[in-house]
Amino acid sequence: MVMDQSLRVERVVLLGMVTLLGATGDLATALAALVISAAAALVVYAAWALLRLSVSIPAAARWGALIAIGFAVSWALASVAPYLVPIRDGAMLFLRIAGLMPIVYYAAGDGASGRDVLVSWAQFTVLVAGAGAVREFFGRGTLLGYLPGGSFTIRAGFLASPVGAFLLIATVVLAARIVSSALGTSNEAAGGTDE
Amino acid sequence: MSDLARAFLDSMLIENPVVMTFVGALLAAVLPRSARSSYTPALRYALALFLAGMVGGAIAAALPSVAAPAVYIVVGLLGVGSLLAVGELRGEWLGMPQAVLATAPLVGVQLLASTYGDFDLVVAAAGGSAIGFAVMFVLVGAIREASRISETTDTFKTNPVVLFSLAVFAIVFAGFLFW
Repeated sequence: MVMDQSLRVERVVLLGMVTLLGATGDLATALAALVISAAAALVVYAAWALLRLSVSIPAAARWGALIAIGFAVSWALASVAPYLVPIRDGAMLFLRIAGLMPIVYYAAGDGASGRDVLVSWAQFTVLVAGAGAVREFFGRGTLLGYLPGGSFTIRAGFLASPVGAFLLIATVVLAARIVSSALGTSNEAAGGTDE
Repeated sequence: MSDLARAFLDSMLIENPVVMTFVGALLAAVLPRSARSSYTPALRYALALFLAGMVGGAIAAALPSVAAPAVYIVVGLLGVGSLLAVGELRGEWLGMPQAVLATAPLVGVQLLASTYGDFDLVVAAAGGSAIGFAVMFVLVGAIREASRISETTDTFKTNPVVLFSLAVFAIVFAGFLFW
């Protein structure tokens, strides 16, 4: 059970990699990205459920329609997000394309059961919120834009940069690998094309 | 430095689509299996990114902003279709068509290029993004290949090595932020 979870963490990191890298510079943006991704996934899943009733639609057209729907949802919600939470200028790009991430389409694919999709989304939620909190707290010294409890932190500015984004998710993947290795499982099906 | 050269170099280095703006990070991290086998796909992806960035970026910059998302997704899907037509993105990845991996970079590069506004700058930015992506695609292929054939345990092979390597490349490209 724990072995499966650790391998799934690596898959989830890959499925939502661009959102995890780009939209986790601060916690507010990360939560906004999470809501947008989840909304896009729900709409895409509903559209997939409708489209699969029609057997005459070719797979390419069906996937093209799903991708367009996912992008439309994320673009529309990203336009509203700055009115609700403070969004850094550079992060708008990642909110707008959040609907194009593979995790949004995971439930519409062939390889995942309903339980697998739900657990993957739970892990994605923890990863995005956790990465946003860690990168903002240690990279900027704040949490949701405020100094938490009057605490004092020495900012590690690189955590708020692309370097910190890659280091954080690489550490998560390596930790998942170490756990699965310690428990004696292989790294197959973790998302690489050559593993 | 001219504005054209600046747009080109900025898009290739400090806005590199793989390690700095991330839009192509997943595609580059997952698909290339080795350096040698990555040359042709890298050229094809670079050409698709350049054409998408140039066409979509220029059209979106010229149209009212409300029409921009429709332009981005139509051009992005056409780019995916052209890559499929030349034999790329065949097969599945985690139960989904590999084409899903390419939509984010194709749309993202258009979004980045369109911010430059003028057509000549959009073309330069699209070219810089395409070359920056192609170089990173081949380099990641080399890193993945080297890690796969190394004598270390499976724990450290492929994905962890690729991601830590991309962090190092991000440090390198961040060095150009102040030029």
